[in-house]
Amino acid sequence: MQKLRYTILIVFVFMLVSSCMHDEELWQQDPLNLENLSNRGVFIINEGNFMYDNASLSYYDIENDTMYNDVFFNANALPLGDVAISMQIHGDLAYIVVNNSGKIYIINKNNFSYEGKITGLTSPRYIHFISDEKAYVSDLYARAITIVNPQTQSITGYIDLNNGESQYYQHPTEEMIQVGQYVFVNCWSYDNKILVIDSQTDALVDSITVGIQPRSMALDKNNNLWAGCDGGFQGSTYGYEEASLIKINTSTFQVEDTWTFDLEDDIGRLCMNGNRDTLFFLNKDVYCFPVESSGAPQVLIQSPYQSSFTGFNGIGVDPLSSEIYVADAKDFNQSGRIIKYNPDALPVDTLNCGVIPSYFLFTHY
Amino acid sequence: MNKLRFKALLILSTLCFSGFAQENKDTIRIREVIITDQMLFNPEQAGMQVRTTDSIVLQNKQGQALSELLSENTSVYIKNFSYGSLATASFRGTAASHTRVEWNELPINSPMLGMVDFSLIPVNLIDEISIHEGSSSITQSSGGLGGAIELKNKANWSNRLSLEYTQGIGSFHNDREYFKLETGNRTFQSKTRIFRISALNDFTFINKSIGEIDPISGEIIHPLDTNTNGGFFSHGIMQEFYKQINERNIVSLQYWGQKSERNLPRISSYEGPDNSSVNSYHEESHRVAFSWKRFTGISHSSYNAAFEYLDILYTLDNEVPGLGVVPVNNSGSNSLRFLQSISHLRTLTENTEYSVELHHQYIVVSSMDTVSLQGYQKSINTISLRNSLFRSFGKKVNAALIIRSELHGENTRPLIPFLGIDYKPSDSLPLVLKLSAASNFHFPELNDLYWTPGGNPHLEPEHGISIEGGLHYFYKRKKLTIEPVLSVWQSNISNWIIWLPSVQGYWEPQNISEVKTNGIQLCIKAAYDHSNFRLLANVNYSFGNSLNMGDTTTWGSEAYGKQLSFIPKQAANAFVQASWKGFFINYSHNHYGERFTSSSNEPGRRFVFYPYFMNNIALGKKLNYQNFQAIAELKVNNLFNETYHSLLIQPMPERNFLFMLRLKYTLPCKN
Repeated sequence: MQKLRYTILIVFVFMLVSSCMHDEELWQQDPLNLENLSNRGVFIINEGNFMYDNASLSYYDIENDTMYNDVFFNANALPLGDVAISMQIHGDLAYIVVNNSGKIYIINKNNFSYEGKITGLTSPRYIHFISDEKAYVSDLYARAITIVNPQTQSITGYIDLNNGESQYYQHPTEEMIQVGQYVFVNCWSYDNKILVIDSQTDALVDSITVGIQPRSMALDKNNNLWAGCDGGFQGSTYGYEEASLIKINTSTFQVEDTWTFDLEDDIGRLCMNGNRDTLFFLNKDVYCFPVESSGAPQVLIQSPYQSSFTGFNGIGVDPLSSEIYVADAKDFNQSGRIIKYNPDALPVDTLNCGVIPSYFLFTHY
Repeated sequence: MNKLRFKALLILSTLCFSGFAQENKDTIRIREVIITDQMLFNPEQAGMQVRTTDSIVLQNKQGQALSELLSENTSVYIKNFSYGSLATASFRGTAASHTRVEWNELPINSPMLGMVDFSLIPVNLIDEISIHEGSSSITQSSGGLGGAIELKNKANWSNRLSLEYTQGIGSFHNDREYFKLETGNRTFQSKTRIFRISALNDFTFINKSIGEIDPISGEIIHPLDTNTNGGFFSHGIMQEFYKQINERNIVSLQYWGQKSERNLPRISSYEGPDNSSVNSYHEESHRVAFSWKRFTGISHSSYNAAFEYLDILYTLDNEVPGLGVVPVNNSGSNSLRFLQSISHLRTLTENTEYSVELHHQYIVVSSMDTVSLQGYQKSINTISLRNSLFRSFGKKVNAALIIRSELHGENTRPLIPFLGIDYKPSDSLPLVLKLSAASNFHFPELNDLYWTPGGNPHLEPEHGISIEGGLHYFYKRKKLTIEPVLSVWQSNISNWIIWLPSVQGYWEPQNISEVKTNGIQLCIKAAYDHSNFRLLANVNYSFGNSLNMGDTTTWGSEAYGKQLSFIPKQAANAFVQASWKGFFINYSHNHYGERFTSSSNEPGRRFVFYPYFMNNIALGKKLNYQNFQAIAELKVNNLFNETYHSLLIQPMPERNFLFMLRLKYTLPCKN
């Protein structure tokens, strides 16, 4: 009887101090063997679901045909955060912009190890390097471009973009492309402007009116800027019009040509091939368009999904091989895949990646 | 043709109401019957799975939110993604909008979203909770593809004066007060309840979603963080009047007003400006329910009229350099709901009862984001007619046939039928076998149809077909009673509505999916009395599949046939109370099996969330002195001090405490 009482006591004490839930599982890393990592590859940003804190970074070793998933976490035992949007490389460091976590992570591009972070950003979208000491960070809500010093990993100033309009119709800055001293910035959500920033004076010097909601930009071999506008949506107080593809002369800041699509179309994820003579973009399917063509853009790769929902969510073209990488987010609620096509748009490989793959960054080319 | 059929039914029901002044009984009595454990075999419940929450459980959960009671003591699955946040309820692997919720006959599902936030409802406001699982919800309303939850208030006719004050003080600046005054006599009763709850929920945790480089070791270290922006404040009042006009007629009038404000914690990886990404949610509601019931020997009639005003405001603020804090989102919705229903139940023969209910609801909604200036204004009329026939075939078989027809806006839904059968194999054995089959529809919610951007006015209603079976047994021997209920179900829901990303960047609801659910559930209630000692136990276990059988060209083939994300296959809870001479100890355990966070049920750390086990305990002492009663209670939540996260990797608090003191003065009516 005495023994039984002790046993019950021991079991009860054990229950009090023991843990039933295996929280440590959340933070367990998978081994990351980088011994054979080649110096030619592509980073893939997997955006993750909004508020799920499940963004991730994949790296595809092109030389060795090997995909490394979740490399940020596996290298650092640290989750990447919520809604990773974009990435840039400067020197040996890679800068990953994590939108809803309000920060930019800095990693060593060769082994993915955590090197630092820039915090205190409202809703960062893209980073663009002006020099070793100066970079611009676009922002959805800040009404400004944030100026950061990558070396000190700190905010050094702002380029005020407040346009005096009502609180919602401010400039939500997105992608940035530099031509000479000018940085062109598209403003997507509820806007129709591409802003021109003088990188020497850090001042807004001009703006170019384009179609409603310019989502994405690319620069061709002639230094013409291409912008894809999604046209807004039905019921939008900012307006709803046909999607459009727009060519801009970066010397005169003038729109040179416009291609109009259907009302339901959506033009986005613009990118160029290595020679910058062919434009690729997504409009449910993958389209391509020689930049000196006078015809209409053609479907290059058809989406396997019948409905206009789900599916292709990003595109990248290898600057060396001209192979086409298409990000398939499937239903946006599971791991996506990267479908690799040869330059003739024939599928050659399929690679599993993280949740909602969306952005490609080629390295070591 | 549909309209013609509906009109015919309307005329039929009007004819039935010509006998309204005659004697009858109605659904109210049906619901009251089911709370009696011994009444297993009742034609008005034939084939139905209806459970009433034990009053001991209700007492134990005083001072807590209804979401906690439901998750720890019933088979209802409560989903919430962070501590103190929105908590929605679902049954049998369905969605939160498939759970219909009524307060004293008034539907309280948000007309915009279709769901109810159970974390905002204090248990102290409710006198009785009935859970209608699966197709049993058709007795209440249509649309409950998963089930229905009925919240009721009722009079205590033997009360003369009762005063009750409860105060609770707990961890994380948790402070709550409840006051209840009941007064009246055998023919009139008034109840007033006032409450105030506030909590900062400012618990600390090691934030593993944030890393710093230790300047000495160079290692990545994680800061000790505080759960900021998790504060909650709510206060409200409920006033009830009950009047027995005479032996046959009772009227009641109830009002429930409540105002709640809640900050929504940021994701734990957030490192933006302190004043940015600040989310808050405000809700103000006013509800009034009037009821007139007329009872006679062979009939029961009732008339209900109710009104609801709901005002919701969601805000998101950010700090803008040079400008300070500015709103990014200021999305407000308000709705008005008017409801009238009239019902009549009549005993036709010794073995047959017939009831009819005509129900009219008018909802007007205005939704607007004052920042983007986008929104919608819509109104909708719903007229519903329910015809029910209950019949006993000898002493061994009962049957219930219910047919609903509805006019929802301009659309007539196909008929919603329910057929339930009870079989009692032996007169001496308190065992009942239950079987039912039903078809049900759930109409899209107003945000599904009209939200900007993305609302899809072309959505079709979701359609569920289900069959259910079960066993209900009641065992009593000397001081021990055991009541096990076993149920199995299978349901196919087509036109399942889900929000998907469109190519234009926003999300839009689509009828693309079919979901098959099946499962088994066991609920056991047990009680043992011996002298001053009393032991109560309430155990629920369920195992079920909720499989996505949607179009693979939309979902991708990997998600086909897989368990819906966030819905556990396995869930269990147990509540045990032991009491002796005024001392009591309550222990509750709650478990969910692993849950998938992806539609394709991928394996691995990111996609399979570890099983959830939670243990809470409460110790207390009840003191009685003449008409006074005092109860002191200490609750320990997360007894084993588990470190755990919510499904979305949000931190949850470790062991925490709540001390409650309840003082009560009761003066019963003189005989």
